[in-house]
Amino acid sequence: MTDRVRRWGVPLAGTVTLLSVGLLAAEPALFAGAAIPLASVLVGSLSRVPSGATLDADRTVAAAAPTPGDPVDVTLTVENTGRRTLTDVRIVDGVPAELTVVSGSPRACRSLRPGESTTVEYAVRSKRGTYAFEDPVVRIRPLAATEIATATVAATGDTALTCANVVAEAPLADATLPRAGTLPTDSGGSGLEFHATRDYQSGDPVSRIDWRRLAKTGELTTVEYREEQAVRTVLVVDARPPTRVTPEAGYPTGAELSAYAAERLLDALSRSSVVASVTAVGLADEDLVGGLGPDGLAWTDPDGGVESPQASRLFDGVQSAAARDSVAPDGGATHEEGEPASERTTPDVETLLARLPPTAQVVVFSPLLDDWPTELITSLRARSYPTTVVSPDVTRGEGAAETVVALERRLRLQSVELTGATLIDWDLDEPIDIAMRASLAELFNR
Amino acid sequence: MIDDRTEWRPTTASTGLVVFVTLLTATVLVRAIGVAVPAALGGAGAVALALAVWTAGWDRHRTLGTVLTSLLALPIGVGVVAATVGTVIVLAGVFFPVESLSRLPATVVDLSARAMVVVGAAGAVFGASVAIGHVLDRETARRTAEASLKTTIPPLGVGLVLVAGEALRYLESTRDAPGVGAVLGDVLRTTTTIVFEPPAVRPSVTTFLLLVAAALLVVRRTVGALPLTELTTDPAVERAVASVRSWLLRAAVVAGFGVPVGFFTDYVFPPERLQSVVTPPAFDLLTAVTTAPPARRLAWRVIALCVATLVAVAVLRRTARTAADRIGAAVAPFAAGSGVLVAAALVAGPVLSAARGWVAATLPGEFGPRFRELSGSVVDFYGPVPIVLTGVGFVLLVAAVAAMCLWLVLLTKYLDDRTAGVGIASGALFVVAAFAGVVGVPTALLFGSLVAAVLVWDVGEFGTTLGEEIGRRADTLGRNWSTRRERWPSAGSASPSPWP
Repeated sequence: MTDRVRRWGVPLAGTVTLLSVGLLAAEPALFAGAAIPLASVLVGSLSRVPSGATLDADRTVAAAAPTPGDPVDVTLTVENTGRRTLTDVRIVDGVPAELTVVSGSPRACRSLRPGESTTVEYAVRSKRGTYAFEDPVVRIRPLAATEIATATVAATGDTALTCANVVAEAPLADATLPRAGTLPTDSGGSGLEFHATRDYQSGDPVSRIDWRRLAKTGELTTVEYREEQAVRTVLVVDARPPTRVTPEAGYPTGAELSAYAAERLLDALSRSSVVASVTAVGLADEDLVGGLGPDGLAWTDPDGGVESPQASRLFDGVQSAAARDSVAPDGGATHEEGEPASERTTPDVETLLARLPPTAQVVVFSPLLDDWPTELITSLRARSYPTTVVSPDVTRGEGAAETVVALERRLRLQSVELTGATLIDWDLDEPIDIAMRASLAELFNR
Repeated sequence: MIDDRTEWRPTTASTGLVVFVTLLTATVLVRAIGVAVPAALGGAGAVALALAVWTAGWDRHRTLGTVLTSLLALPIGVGVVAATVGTVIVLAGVFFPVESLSRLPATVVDLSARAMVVVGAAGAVFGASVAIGHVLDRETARRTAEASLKTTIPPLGVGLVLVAGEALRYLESTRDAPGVGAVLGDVLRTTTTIVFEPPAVRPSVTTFLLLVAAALLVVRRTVGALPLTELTTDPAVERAVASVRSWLLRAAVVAGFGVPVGFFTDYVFPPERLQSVVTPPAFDLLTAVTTAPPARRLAWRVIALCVATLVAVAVLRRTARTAADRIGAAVAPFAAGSGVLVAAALVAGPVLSAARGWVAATLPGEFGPRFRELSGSVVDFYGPVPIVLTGVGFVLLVAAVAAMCLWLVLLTKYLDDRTAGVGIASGALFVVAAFAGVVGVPTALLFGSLVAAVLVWDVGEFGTTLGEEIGRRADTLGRNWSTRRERWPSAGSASPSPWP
């Protein structure tokens, strides 16, 4: 596509001014001087983009499978494969709209001789999912910049950035799980470990009668062992709208980070044969394929761990909700008019408690940006559920607002600790594995 | 952190080159024609106008920006007046008197061309200044014009009122005023006599009752406007207010009904007959009451006080319902204008004396003493304060007119918002060069100025397009000059959306 640009308006006005004043004052030098802006006008009107200009582009994405939030270097190489020198080549790479450029610039302006190539280097912040790059757009102008030729150049090389969480390769395999699937209790009954003795009651199994004591004292007693109950670990991902806040532009939101941590923990648990359920609070019907359950909860009991379709759907739902209903960096929510999104999608704590198995141990993943998770954790602890809280800290920043939000989060962390729950404060500057290891150790070393 | 508001502005290199070439060319040409002081003042005014446009565009600190824009109106006006009137006066002092009448046209052309060089140079400085921040567009120009115009109102209004008051007082006091002045003086005297000081020879019931009725109605309206019932929960206060307003209305109606009767007694009934009808003591009492100046002055003062109260209450009510920032932006120009008014009134004497002395000393030949004599009589008549206030008001008006012209040029799209600054700078350099050619600057300098004008436009427009399409931090020189940044504010800034 080629367009003409009339950028000679001011030189033309200058020419007219010089001729007019020269005429009025009868000054020959002004007539001669009018040739200067006139020459600019003429050169501009005659300039054209070189015919037969051709360019090739090749893109390289440095990281094959980055983790969410990691910067990924992208290099675009553009070569002038034509026979004419291109004095003004402007290049814009087709960065996916969902990704944010964190360093460098995907744009450049160069002059290219025939056969000469140039590179455009920049880095984008990765996000969970696959994002396709568009072909770079190139704009060429002649030296006088009075004509524009705009074209899209098909780029070879890498055309997409995939960030797939690589759970299978997560360095959690070394996390030792001392016990899996059962939880010792303080109540006596059948089991392996001795707990206490009591008077024989009619109906007690004969195998549990303390025959030695009967022989010594003549008293009929029954031996009780420490009961072991089957344990279900429930991972609760807080994905409500208040958590869809990003610490930096382009960085995953609190909801996405919570889901990411839950996904990694679920994988580790499933590989250790721990029975686990996952729920994400704050999702809307449209976020989840198949919709929410009758009680308004996105609940799944994945058979096969993180690779099961149900778990993938749930974590994809969190991703979709975060993208749809994210909060802009300036604090303006982008949800639709009417009822606030938080009111639409936040379930009642009682609903969640009603769904929990009585022997569950609960891991709550939440950035703790409002009081709802604190209320949930308090309720869990009041019902004696063993509770662990993994909280990604998305309150980084030096502004006054960030400081206040960070202070409020700090107070919530303190209240969570006071309930007796185990707290894992995940500093985003540290790898997630550190938080995960701590989480696993706390979870199974009770 | 990258600021998205500045990222797509013209590139730094192009802006720097535009500013450097423009200032250099303008300075060289102005020095060549030898009008340093007015040109410097004009340049300062141009920079002030650019600053005013910049501050007018502050959205996050709208009130502060409006205050600064308003305060800058005075330097802008001074700069414009200095670049035009000041230049003409200085040059007139140099070129006049002419040796012979035949040299008069050439001298006038020369003087006008030099004045145009100064004006063009000031315009070029303004264009280069606004190109720095890429701050000039229709909205900022409109805000500048609006703020400057509002700033003009207090000093110009008060100055005109004082000057008009002095003039009317003079016309009222003399019967020797020429032409229309004499008629106006007669009307003033008659009106003053009838309304304020009627002769105590017969009753003046009509005007007296009119004043009383008007005063009662205004007081009733003021009592109703005051937030008395809102400030108390006592129902007795509400009842008392209603009762007072009712009584005031009745009294005003009674006074109003008395006006036709008064018209009959004042203008139809002869005084002797009225005296015989109402008895002499009653006639004397009625005359004394209805013609007493203190009573009438009291009525006028009550009316003035109540009107002022009504205006204040209306302003406060409106203010209470308006956002603080909007109030600040709306009130700031008037506050700044009032500040200018007070400052001008404080320094009126010395400033006027200095200005008169400079003009008289600069004007050529007999014009100087003649100006001193005429201006002296005017100052003696009006006093320095009304003259200085009116003068400051007109200077501010000049600034407002300059900003309005700028807005109109942008509104009618004679100048594009994108390239307004470089367009003005380049166009003004063409004007400067053209008129410098008339004055007879060296040809090399003339041609160099024209090349500079073309360069300013070409580089400025190129840098603007480059900034819009590539951004200011992209690599445009084949090397990676871009620094690592913490973040970009939005993903959209990375997409090629600006290109069609």
